Amino acid sequence: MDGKKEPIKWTRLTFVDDRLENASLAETLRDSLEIIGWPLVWTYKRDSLSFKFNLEQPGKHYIVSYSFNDMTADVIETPKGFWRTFDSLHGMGGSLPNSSIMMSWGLCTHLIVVLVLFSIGSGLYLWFSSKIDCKKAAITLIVSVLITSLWMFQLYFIG
Amino acid sequence: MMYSLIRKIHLFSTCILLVFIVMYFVSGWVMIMEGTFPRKTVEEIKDVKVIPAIKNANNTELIVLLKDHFGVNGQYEIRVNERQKSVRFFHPGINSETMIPNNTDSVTTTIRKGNGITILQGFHRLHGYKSGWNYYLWAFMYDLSSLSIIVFTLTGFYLWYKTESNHLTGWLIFGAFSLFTAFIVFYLMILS
Repeated sequence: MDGKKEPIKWTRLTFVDDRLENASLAETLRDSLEIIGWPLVWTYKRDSLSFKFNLEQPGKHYIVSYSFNDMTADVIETPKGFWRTFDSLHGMGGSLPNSSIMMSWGLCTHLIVVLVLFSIGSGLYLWFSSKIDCKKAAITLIVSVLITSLWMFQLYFIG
Repeated sequence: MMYSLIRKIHLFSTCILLVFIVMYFVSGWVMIMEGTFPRKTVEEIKDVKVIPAIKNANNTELIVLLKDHFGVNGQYEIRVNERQKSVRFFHPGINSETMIPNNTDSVTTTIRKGNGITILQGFHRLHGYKSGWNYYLWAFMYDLSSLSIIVFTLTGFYLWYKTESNHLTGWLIFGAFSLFTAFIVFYLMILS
């Protein structure tokens, strides 16, 4: 159902400057390995021989281990499966490092927000223009807006 | 008959849940634009009090004692470890954390008040069937709003299909956005 797959391991020879600080090193490694996603700051582990960090993107999780001596990066790539990928689209603003395609998702999200708000406004306008169930709907709308707004004030000011 | 019923469901569910749905879409949009609309703590108050009875209080008594002594309120969560208990209260825009060490009666509470964006995000994130009827009801309305989005889509689809004679444009837009979403999921799972 979930379609989650087993981790895939791969290795790539790549050179990175070992004088870089952790955040820059993780980003440089991500770019040279052509991975998209965010390095997780709290997973950085470094000693004189190696640098290890985790990296996250909506569809996959990566564990990257880089050896300064061998100049090799060992990567464990774990696909998250369909539902977790689908779920992560909620709240995805389109800013995903190394992925220009996801910009289009961000634009689409902005468009959808505008369209939904327009649909609510225009839908109500069209309904009230049609005069069918107009009075009952207007009373329901006013009462619900009043109750919900008062409730939100209560939650903010009193808790 | 069926058309009239679907029409009524579509209209009245919108009227009842209008504020919730607008709030979720506006606050959700603000959340994905966090770089432009950052959350900020505008006020932080730290308070230390000695409450001798707190050591032996059970969870229900503990909540009452903290509300009485610090005036905190909201949805709460109690965490216990070997050295101390911590109690977090939350309601939109305001959260507090109280530390109750095992070896002393001195209790420290930090209350943080957020800016308008924090309040909006607080409403968006408020969920969970816990901490009293007020929050149970909110959680129920939260679930109902989520369900209503699905209901609006289905009933709206039905109403559109029944009232419009030319469906081509609608199908094309529906197909394009469905394919786009499928492509993005495929891209994240396979292509990236």
